[in-house]
Amino acid sequence: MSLSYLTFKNLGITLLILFRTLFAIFWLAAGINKVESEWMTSNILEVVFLQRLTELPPDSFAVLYLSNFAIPLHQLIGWIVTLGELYSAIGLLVGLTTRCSAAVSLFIIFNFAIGGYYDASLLPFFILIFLFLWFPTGQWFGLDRYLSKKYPNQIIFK
Amino acid sequence: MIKKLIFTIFILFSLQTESNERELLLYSQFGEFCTMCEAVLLCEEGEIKNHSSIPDEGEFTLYHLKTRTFWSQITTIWEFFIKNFEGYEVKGHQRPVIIISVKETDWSAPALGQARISVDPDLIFLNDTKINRLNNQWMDNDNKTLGFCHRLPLWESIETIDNRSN
Repeated sequence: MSLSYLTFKNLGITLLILFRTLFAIFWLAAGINKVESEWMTSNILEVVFLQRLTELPPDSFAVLYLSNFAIPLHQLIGWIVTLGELYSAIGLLVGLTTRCSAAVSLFIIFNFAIGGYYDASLLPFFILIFLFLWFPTGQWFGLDRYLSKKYPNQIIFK
Repeated sequence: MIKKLIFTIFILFSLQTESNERELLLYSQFGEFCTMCEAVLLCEEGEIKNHSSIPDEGEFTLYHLKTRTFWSQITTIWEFFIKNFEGYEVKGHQRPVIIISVKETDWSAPALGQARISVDPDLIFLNDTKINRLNNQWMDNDNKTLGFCHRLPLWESIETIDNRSN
């Protein structure tokens, strides 16, 4: 392998780990904010959804999604989103069950998008999540590297 | 590694979050600008009036505040993140606005401009006018009162504007 290839590869790995860390810090801040804003224990999410309902085109899929799914189940969604963000944040930050953490992030972001909270800012998140799913970043830098050696049959650490 | 994680969690838990935000046009009570929201405002001279739709005739200006542009939406990643740090909240942004002047039953051609939505001060800056977001006062750039603005029902108003503009 040539030196330039190795340099390029190391640069890619470093960048991806850096983005994973930034992504995790962003998620952690968002998750903590939701705990403090009482997303799990109050009806704040219902208020958020009802407000968004007034801003969306009445015939859009997002209105259907919010009216029939998100608003009736706002408390459950508050729990899933808050705990999901915190789990993903910690997983991506320390490289623990990294790909599973990325999959949970994908689930949350996808539901944001179809629930009417879509804009161009979601694109970088989708791109990064797919990179975290595709590449074994937890093996490069994280607890997955050690845990996969200790538990080689556990797919969650791969 | 573990020490770094504990330190990061400690720092983030110590951050203050906003809890007493006001709800303003295109700005939620949770302190966030709505990137994909639109609004149609009717501004006219005289006292404040309520309109349930765009009047068939009269003398007024319509402002259709559009969604933020692609790159402006991308920058909301930073805005959303920095919002968690007290004192660093983003206080405004720019977005496209369509301006239509109506005189009697004549509508001008829609003109594309830039609106700056601000929460400090609570103003919407338009080309040569501005709107006080708290009392809906419509002013020129010398702060002279021109009249008042009123938010119209969004989707019906957009449909009316589209029908008249095409």
